[in-house]
Amino acid sequence: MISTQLLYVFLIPIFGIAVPFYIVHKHVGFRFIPIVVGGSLLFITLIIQPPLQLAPRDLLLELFNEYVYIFYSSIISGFIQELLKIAAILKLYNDVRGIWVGFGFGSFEALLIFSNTAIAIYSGYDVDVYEIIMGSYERLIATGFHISSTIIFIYSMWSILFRYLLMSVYHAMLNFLAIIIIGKDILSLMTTPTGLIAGYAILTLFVAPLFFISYRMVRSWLKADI
Amino acid sequence: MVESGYIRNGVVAGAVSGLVTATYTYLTLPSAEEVIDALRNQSITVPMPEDVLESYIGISLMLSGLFIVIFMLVIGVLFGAVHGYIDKRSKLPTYLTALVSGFIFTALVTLPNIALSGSPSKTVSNFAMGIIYAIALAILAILWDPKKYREDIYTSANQY
Repeated sequence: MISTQLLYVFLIPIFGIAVPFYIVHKHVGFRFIPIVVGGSLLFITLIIQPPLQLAPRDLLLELFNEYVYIFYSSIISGFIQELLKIAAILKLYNDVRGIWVGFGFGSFEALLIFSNTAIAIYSGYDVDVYEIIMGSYERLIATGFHISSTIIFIYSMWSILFRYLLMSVYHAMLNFLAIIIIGKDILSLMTTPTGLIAGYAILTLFVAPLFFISYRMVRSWLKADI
Repeated sequence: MVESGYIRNGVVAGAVSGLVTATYTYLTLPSAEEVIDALRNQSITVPMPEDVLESYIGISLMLSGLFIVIFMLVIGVLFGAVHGYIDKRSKLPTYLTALVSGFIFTALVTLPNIALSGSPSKTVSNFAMGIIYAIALAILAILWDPKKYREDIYTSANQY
């Protein structure tokens, strides 16, 4: 059983890294360093984010409830991750290479989740195969989100502050939705495979407008095959 | 595949810092039971049976040094780029801008722990990791001037 589950875990890098890589590389020349810079932004996030999320945990749980704390954590993660990405885009890669920064951020995240899940299963933790499959799909959405947000940072005509606020709030809302629908199962969907698909469909619907907007921004040079 | 002399130096300094920190980590590695006790003391619950959790933590501890080296190599790329950014915009000598970018990294890995009363040993090891990175980057800037890296040769052949 464990070996079967371990095989399914490889869907995480396939959906979270290989598929987005294929799509991006089809249109943008491969750049290795921006990918690693994107990954290092994720590592910086892992240092800064947890202490800020944990600091008011007890207070928020005491004054309000768990969902307020989840909302706060989502806001923190959205604002920090987008701040690091927009800073790297504006200061280091404010051109087509920036798309690889978003890809790097998402793919390193997928790599971390892949290694974490693989170690957990190898240690004997029983994970449902459907959860692994849908989790892999979640990585596809997440990497797609990071690529889309970098496209918006690079190519949109909006002010820098507006771009930053828009993407941070969008990111925070996506995280919040993912935690309450998938993690906390507030809609009681996660117990059956059909419910799992319905839960991820809600997330897909939420993120679809962003994919559409970012696609519109690069559509002309995609069509021209530049 | 190196894009500039700054990133090259950043990666090498990251490797030095990562190897030193990984060695220290392996020398002071706690047991899986100690980590589980620490989690219990902080009222952190992990949704795993105890034996699975112990095995999971054991494997994670075994890989922790490797993860630190990879972490520092990747971070080295970013802070190499940050060093280049600062150096091109200031009139300070290259080794000083290397120290500045190294100190920014040190602050980043240390201050959240200090401000939020994190583990003192973690704060000290993070501080040491950052300082080793900063010193290695400054020494490299003196020995291996990143400004002399022939970026034009690389980029002309790999332009998108």
